[in-house]
Amino acid sequence: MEVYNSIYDIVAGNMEEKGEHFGYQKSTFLCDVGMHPQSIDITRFLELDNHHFYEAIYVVAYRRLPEKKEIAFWEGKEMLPKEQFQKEVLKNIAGSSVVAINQIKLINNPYFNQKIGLKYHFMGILYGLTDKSCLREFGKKLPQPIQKLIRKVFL
Amino acid sequence: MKVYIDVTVLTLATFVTGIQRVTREVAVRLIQDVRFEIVLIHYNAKKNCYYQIDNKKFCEYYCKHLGIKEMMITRREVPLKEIGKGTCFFDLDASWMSRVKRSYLLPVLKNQGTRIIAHIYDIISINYPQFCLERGVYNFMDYIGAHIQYADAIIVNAQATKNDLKKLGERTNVVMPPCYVVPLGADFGTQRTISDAEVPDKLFKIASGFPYILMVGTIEPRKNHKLLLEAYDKGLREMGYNIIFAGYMGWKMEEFQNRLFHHRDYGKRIFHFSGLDDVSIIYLYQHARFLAFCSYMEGFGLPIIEAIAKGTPVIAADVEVLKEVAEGCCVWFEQDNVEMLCNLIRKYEDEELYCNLKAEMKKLRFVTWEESAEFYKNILSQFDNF
Repeated sequence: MEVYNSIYDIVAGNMEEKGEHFGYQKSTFLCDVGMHPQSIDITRFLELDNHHFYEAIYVVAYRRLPEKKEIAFWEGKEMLPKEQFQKEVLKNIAGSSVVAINQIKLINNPYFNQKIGLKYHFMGILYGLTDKSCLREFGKKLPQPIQKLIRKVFL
Repeated sequence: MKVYIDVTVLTLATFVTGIQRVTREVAVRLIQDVRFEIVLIHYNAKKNCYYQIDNKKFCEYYCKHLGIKEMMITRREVPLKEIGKGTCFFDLDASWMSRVKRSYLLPVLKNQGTRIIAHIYDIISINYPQFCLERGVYNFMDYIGAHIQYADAIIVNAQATKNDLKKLGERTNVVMPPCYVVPLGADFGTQRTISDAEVPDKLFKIASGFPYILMVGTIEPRKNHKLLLEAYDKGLREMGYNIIFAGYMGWKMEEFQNRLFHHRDYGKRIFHFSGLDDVSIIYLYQHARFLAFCSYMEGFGLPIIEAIAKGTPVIAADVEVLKEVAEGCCVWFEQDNVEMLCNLIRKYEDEELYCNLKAEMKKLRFVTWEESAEFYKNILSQFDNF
């Protein structure tokens, strides 16, 4: 890990020399190193404070930094107790299409068991949709209003 | 000797330039050599598994433009445990863009006794991150960190990159694996002259109009395209030169893009082409007055030797790696010195001088892809029977 630590410092230093700021936190990078492409080991992130936690989880799961709207949303919740905050972030990530489509598993998650597939009640009958990945991909191709409706009913 | 090459990025790319071209040229030649058993693999993110690529279809698609890209990928899964002792993993492609992090993959392979050969094109993302896309830098940090620790050998294309890697090793306290410098081939595409009929009408009309200065390569900050635009305003226009930019519009170029597309001569004497095929690029090389190469830094500067091989004089910024690759072959100007760039082009308006320059260039001989591939093969062979 020392090597990655040094590389991060070199890059961040080079950016600073040019008057720029490297947008990724060191903690995000170090948590991400060695991560399996489809499994996110949550224990690696539990020690992070709320601010660093959501950034690191976003980068590992979505492979991008949180967007402005997302930053504003999570910053508004940073005052929450650590466990509650982490649980909310993870719930949000676990329910996302990116995670479903890429079949990303949150492992060693102390807060909840990640659902695989969807279950819902309709007219008193329990329905199960197991192939969530395919459905999500199909759903992504539908017009926005229909996507919204589906989200409302099923998710 | 069994060699695995992850070509996921190449097979997902919609264009074959730069690193994708190197991957194609080298992979095809390795496949054709019977001494090697080449297993090309493609990572499927949804299945979290590598699949083998059909070598024959790969060659047909990338050499003869036959077949459908997706059909190259077979259904044979290649589990990581298959890439074990006695085999070699050659990381040739731009794999830092792959979903499979090298910090995850390489320790697994190393534990299985696989020999790992890395191809490092440059470490610009580390040394000059301000020119790169942040996400790309982030991915590259992981990639380079893993390779300097786990690779059994590293291949670079210039001594300057080797020196950069040595310095990185010192700063990170890593004992670097042996590093080999392999020159890239200059003979891309066809070696014959491209006729006017083979290119789109628009390209023909532009190329046969005013003489033009050409820039080839992705339009990104480190390539310094703005310098040529400035040179156009400060003298090239008056001298009667057009400008052609051939390359994809890359990252962090909003300001340049705005300036280019709103220039009074855009579409009249200043042109931008994106997604041109090899034939069109060669055609542009063949008719250009000069290829301009204004980069702040490069890993190799492939367009320089490609242009010279096609008989086009090159005017280039005096960057260390470019001087190493093409010393004695280019007209050099001080980096960012727009006056010097204009003055040198003016100087070569003297037809006798220009013809002499072209004649000198004809005497130059660069490494071909066949020869370059031989270097790669020799290095890989050293890791046979380990």
